[in-house]
Amino acid sequence: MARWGMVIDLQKCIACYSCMISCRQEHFLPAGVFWNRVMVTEQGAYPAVHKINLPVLCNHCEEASCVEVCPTGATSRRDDGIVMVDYDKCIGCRYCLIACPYQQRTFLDGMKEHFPGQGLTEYELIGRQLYPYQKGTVVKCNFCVERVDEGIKKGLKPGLDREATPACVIACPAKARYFGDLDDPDSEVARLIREKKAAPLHPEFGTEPSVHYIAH
Amino acid sequence: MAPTKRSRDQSMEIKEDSWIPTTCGMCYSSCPIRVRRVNGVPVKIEGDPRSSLNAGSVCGKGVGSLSIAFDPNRLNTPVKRTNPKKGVGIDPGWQEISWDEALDTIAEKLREVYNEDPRQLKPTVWPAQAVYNGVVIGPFAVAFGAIHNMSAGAGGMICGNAAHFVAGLIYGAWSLTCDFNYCNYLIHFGASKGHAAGHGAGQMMRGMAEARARGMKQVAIDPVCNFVGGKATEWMPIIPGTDASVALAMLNVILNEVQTWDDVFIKTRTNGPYLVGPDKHYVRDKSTNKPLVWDAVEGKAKTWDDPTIGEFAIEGTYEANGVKCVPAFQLLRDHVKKYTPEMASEISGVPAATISRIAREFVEAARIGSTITIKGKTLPYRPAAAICFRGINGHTNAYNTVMAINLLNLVIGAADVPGGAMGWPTRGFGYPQTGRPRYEPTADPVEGMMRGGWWWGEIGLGGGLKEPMWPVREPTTPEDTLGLGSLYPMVVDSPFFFSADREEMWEKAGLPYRPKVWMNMGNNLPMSGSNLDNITDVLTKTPFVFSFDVYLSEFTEFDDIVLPDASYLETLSPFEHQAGYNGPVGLDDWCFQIRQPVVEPAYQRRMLAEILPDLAERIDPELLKKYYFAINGLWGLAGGKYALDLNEKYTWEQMADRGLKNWFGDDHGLEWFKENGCLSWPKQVEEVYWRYEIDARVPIYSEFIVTMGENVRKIAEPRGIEMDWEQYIPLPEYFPCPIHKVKSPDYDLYAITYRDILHTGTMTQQCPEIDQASMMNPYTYNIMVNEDVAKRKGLKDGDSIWVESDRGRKTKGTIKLAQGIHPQVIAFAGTQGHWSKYMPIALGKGALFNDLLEIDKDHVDPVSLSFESAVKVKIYKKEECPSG
Repeated sequence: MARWGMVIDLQKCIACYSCMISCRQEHFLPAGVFWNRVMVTEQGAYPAVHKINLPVLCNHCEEASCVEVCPTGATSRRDDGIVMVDYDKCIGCRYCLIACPYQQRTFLDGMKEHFPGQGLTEYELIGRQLYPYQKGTVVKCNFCVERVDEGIKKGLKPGLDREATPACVIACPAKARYFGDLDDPDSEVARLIREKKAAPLHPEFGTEPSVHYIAH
Repeated sequence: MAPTKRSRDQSMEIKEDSWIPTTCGMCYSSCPIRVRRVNGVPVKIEGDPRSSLNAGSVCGKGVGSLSIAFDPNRLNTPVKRTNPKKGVGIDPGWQEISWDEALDTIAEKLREVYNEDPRQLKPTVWPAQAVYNGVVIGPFAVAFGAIHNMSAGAGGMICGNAAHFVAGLIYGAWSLTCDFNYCNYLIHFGASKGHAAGHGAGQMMRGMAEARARGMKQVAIDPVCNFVGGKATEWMPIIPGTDASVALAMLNVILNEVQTWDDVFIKTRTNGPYLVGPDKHYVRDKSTNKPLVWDAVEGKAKTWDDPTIGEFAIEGTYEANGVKCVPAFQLLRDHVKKYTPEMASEISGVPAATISRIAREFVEAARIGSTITIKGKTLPYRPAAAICFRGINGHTNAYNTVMAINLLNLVIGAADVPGGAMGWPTRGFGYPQTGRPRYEPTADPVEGMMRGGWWWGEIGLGGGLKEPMWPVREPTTPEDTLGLGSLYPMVVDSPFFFSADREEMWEKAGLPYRPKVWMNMGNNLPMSGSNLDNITDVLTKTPFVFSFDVYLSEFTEFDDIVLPDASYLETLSPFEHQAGYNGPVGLDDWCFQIRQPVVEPAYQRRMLAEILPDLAERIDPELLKKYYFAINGLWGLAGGKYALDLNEKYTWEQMADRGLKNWFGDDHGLEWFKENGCLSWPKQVEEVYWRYEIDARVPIYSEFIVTMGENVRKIAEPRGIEMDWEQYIPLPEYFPCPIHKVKSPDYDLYAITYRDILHTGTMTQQCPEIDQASMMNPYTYNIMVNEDVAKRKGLKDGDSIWVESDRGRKTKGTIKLAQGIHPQVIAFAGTQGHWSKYMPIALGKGALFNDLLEIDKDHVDPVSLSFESAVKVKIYKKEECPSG
């Protein structure tokens, strides 16, 4: 069984937000909900300054605190490492929101409009049908599990074949994102972690994230 | 294992789920995309994976533009104003009218102008649809007789002007980048290439990112450490408008301290050996008029192309034709001596030691003398480049600055060779089955100078509107254009059609007409031009103004009629990739993709390309024939089997089909492209690295500009047109700009704009996805102020401030404090600050920078007419302003 993971090269990221917006379209996310975000800030003092572009998403941790705290078992970790939320089991207690040290979870308290006060557009309406959500539950990045699962069924390789690879990875115009099997030493992600010393954010949290970063 | 509860609503019937290949329309790069459509609704945008240009990815503003297809704020019907009073913030009182009424009214106004003097028509176009504009509106303007009045954007405000001219002159191309697959050392002078800005954006983002990861050193000379600066290996903050001093000092270090240059390149690819006399002109052979060079072996002057030349002399002093003369290269070396790093440091604020170090690193990185073998061909290997674009182009010294920067590439021989600076695409053998479109540079037989290439060549589309680069066009009397462009041979877009002193300039130039009808295609001049007092004056003095637009934008406050245009997702544009600057750089495959409708135009929206022939026919049936005639010429159809029969009528689809088949053969008409998207074919080494394939030279000494300056003055001065003619010089100098001459200590900051990756033009802000990303970014909607400076002024993050220019113009915004900005500079992102209530997502976001700008002959580059887009200001808290 593979263990899916991601590597993001911060040297390459230009903060164009394609990952964030592509993710929103892939999952028909309601206005104001982001499974991918890009944090932008700067580091250093004038004139020795660098801009930091930091794309963040659910880390699909091996020791996921959200899984530990979920009282109903709605949040669970699959054998392939993808941390999922079962909306039918989620009671909206939001314990996981507090527990996630990376603040990657969002409570859906309603469906905001793209154009406030102007009603839902045909895009938003068809989105509700194609990709239903349940009000009062918690949502987060699912590593595009549909693409991964459907892709594997078709004999495709996630991370190598576009159709089986998360939307944010294929969207990146700077090709800063990589997806693959962390347990396969020959995978691109394993190689980058090894050779470019990619590391997770805040390893001290001890949750063993599956998303690694190549430093700026 | 938890189930994935993401399955769709089972009651939903999927009648259709398809991907439509097309091109993005959010900037002029036209990246190939595909749009997923479910039951007729577009639901996702991705890069088209079949295209080498963007390799399946597209930037955030492309993805986020999906909403244009379903935005409830779109204009859906033709409207006319009921309130005769026009002005900023004044409601026109729009009333819906029929297409017939709208077109008949417009046709009547246009007919009057067409019969009286067609030069009274002022067409403005939206630069993000530059190609569509060129191939659709271009022929209309040609047929009508107003092509010289057509301009994209705000007359050079967003245009490269000087940068385009120099790119044509030196690289035979429209734009400049580096060969990022091989480059190891890249200097950006005010150029955001690689950050979804500028030409070839899709490929450039990937190429630059991969080069960075590979270890290419990137030096960003920029007042702001945001996009290029923020990612660069080294950010060098600089005072706006002073880049020429740095480039000239670097040349001095290279040529006079390090004393290293590419000897072969200078001698055989440039006019470096050409002998120049005391009158600044070449010394020429009396019978052939060819410039003379000195043969160091025989010790005598010969024409530059004499096959017996043993060795070109590029240093020393000689005598030929009885005058003392010096090789151009020697003149350049002598010329830059006065630009010491210390002098440049005083002007630019960049430390002298840094300038000196960067110059040495640059020439060392160029590995002069080395070669590389690519696909079996051994080529000079010069992995260093200096590139520039809008940042340095937005000043009154634009031409001299662009030239100074590009000399850096020429002295190290890093132009269109592996690793070096690169124009694109300059040479193409065409699609293998048809050999079209084919284009390549040639040499002028008298002076040996390069002519041709893509944009600047004789080829039809787009390029047909331009003239061959060499010999450089002669200035002529300026009365045929509102922008007076014919007087200024380097001009692409002129601001004189809307400058504050336009009436005075028109009067002096002897223009026997004034703008009577303004035909606007998506341009938003009130936001992208100069201060609003001026724009209001220009637009209200034009008797009849109408627009094609997708929104009731700020420009429409001045319109009499607005026609609901189709958005790019509803448009067919067959030649999106003809322009070259949206073709692939380097050895990546050629690719060509069309833009096609993802959805049919809803409501009463209509595609501009379908309206124009209708409008032409309503004006005069003969005009429609002239339109077809112009298309035959500009699309290169004339004389071939796909030429339009002037007595027939064609749908836009039929015309597109003919244009495509003309280039790509009977098998590759419109239907093929609709179905397959991208047509790709491999690129050959000789197409990319052409510099030593073609025996043509480029100027390191611009003798032509001496003559040009003389000829411009001969026309201008008797008419009372006075400008800073000193800038017409053969070797570049640093000239201070108006911003550098403001003496009052109260105005202690330079205000500039920079290109934010999320925004192009003024429409991106109305897209909710892009807007939400912009709000997440700490800089996009805020004015960047240096943190230490702000603290001294008692300002903190999020404060609302007034920005007031030395001329008393004011704009307001909120601030974001940053270390990554020059202490003497504040910076605004893009063109923001919408006030149209018809664009509610964009409304009130960001600050309107352009309202601070002056526009008159003292604020334009006298050579290229690029206009000054920085301004000296003071800032203070909003509550401190009595009128605030």
